[in-house]
Amino acid sequence: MVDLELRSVSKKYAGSEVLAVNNVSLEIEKGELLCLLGPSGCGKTTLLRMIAGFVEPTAGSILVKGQDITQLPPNKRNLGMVFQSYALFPHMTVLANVEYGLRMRRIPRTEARTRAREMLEMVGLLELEHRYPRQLSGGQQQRVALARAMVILPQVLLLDEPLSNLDAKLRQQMRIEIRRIQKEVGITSIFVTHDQEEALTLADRIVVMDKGEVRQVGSPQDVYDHPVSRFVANFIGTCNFLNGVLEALPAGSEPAVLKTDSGLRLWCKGVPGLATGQRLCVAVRPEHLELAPAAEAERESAPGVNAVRGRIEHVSHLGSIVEYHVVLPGGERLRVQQQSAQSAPSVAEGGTATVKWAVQSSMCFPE
Amino acid sequence: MTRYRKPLTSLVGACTTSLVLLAIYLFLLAPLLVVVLMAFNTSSYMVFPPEGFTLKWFVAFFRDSMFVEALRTSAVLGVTSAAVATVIGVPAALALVRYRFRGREFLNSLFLAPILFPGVVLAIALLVYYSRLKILGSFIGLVLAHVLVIVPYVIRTVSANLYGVDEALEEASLNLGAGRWRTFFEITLPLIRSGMVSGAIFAFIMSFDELVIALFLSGARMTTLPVRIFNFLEYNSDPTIAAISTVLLCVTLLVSVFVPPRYLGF
Repeated sequence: MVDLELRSVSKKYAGSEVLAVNNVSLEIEKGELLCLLGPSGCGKTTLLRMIAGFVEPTAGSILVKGQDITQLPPNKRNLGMVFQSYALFPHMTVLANVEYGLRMRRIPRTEARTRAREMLEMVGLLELEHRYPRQLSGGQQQRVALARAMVILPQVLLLDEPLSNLDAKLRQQMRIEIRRIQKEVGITSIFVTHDQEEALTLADRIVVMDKGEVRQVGSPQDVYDHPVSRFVANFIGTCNFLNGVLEALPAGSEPAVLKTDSGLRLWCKGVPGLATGQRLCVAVRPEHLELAPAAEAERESAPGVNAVRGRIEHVSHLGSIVEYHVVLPGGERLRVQQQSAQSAPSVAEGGTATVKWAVQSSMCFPE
Repeated sequence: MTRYRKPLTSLVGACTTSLVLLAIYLFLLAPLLVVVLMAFNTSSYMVFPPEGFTLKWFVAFFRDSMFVEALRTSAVLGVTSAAVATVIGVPAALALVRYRFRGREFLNSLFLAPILFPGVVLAIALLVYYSRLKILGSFIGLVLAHVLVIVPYVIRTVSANLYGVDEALEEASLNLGAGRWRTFFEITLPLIRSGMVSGAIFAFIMSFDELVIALFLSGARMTTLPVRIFNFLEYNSDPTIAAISTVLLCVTLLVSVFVPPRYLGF
């Protein structure tokens, strides 16, 4: 069942040349957690604010459970929102903050109190109900904001970069916490973030946005493994890019051949509808690259597997993984990641090594 | 050696600072003290040091019906002007801070204009205008004139307060189901209350001791206390004035003692 539907929603701010949000259509299923992900200024917050009713769309319509709410004022929409700054009312106690939405709905006092307490218990803050927001830590304020938005039983929960004001450790905790509560209540949620890691860990589906447009919609796995463009590949996770020209189309069991700008010949995946001479960009994730002793170079360069020799410029130990920065003869730099336990002792900083990767694990984007 | 000398230098520095501050305070407050002492002086002239203790100047003040009437007029005028200025100033500040609209900058400077205007010019302009409207010497005329002068101060204090209130708070309230009015009364108003109260008190004090405009616009039937004092001083010099000043001083002190400091914006 579709809980929230956006139909060709666009927004152009007065005095601006470009569309902040350009023709976005989305459907969000009941109970789903959808992440709007993109760099700052990509229109994700504008989109969320249009759903909440704080920004009026220039075109298009917004439907909640099939009902058009585009023209409704924010206070008639019954959507809960968690703000980046939490926006807790400083002159009210924690309990009064959580009760506020119920009071506005004219819910009887005793029932409102019971419901507010239940919600506070769910976020684990019942014992702090008489405190004022300024007496709480950032994480606690975050929980109150969450409780306040959810107690009104909103049809959709909107979260606007709710974790960006927390320190790294707490952010990871709250991520798990938000996901737990969201699943427990089964509430349809939209989560805006510019943090790809956050989106990957939290979301059921990710919507990647750039320059006001949706670039890709898919599960975290899908978006990570099969990005549709160079932008998505670069924005989600890290990626090595090699630019060049298509030299030969796939022939028989042999894959296509790319000649990079520095003259390197690489096997690459064929993309339907390409002609030789077309500019391409090959992308490989650091964890799909493998390091081997330098001597293996020529022997291993069979169709389907690329093997390139390079100099190891820098080795960084990132705990469970080791990252190698390898400079190819043509000047390109590759980042290679390997599990710490598997890293070869013979591959040291300053030495040469062979970087190998299977064509299957690479991606190919026409420029 | 320098290590040992340093605390001494900073001690001397601290002492000098204290002494300078003390001198400044003395310079500012001594005249007030002298006035208070003279109010209790038995001599019929404003002389210092006092010659004896008496309360007769206070009695003289409260017996003089013109003074009492003027005090009453000023108090009512001050409260009315402050109230009207607050009722106008709060929505004006809200509009200027929260909303983007055409002519916002123009309105902003328009609301500030009375502060920059010389009082005498404003007074003459209003004099001409009021005599045409036939409201010269009327209470309503004085209220309008004072509101004109004090509204910018209310707008300033409330705006300063409003800039400190996160707009997301109002959005959160709307999101939780409160309408615009409800949001104003439940969220915005309580959060700008300190600015509002300090603005209103400031407005009252400004109206209460405003002389120039009142001098031009008040008539025989409608005289404010500063105007009455001004007229009195032209022909008299007995310590009744000192007694009045002492009463006014006490009122101001009471206001600052009984209104919590956070409402005064300190």
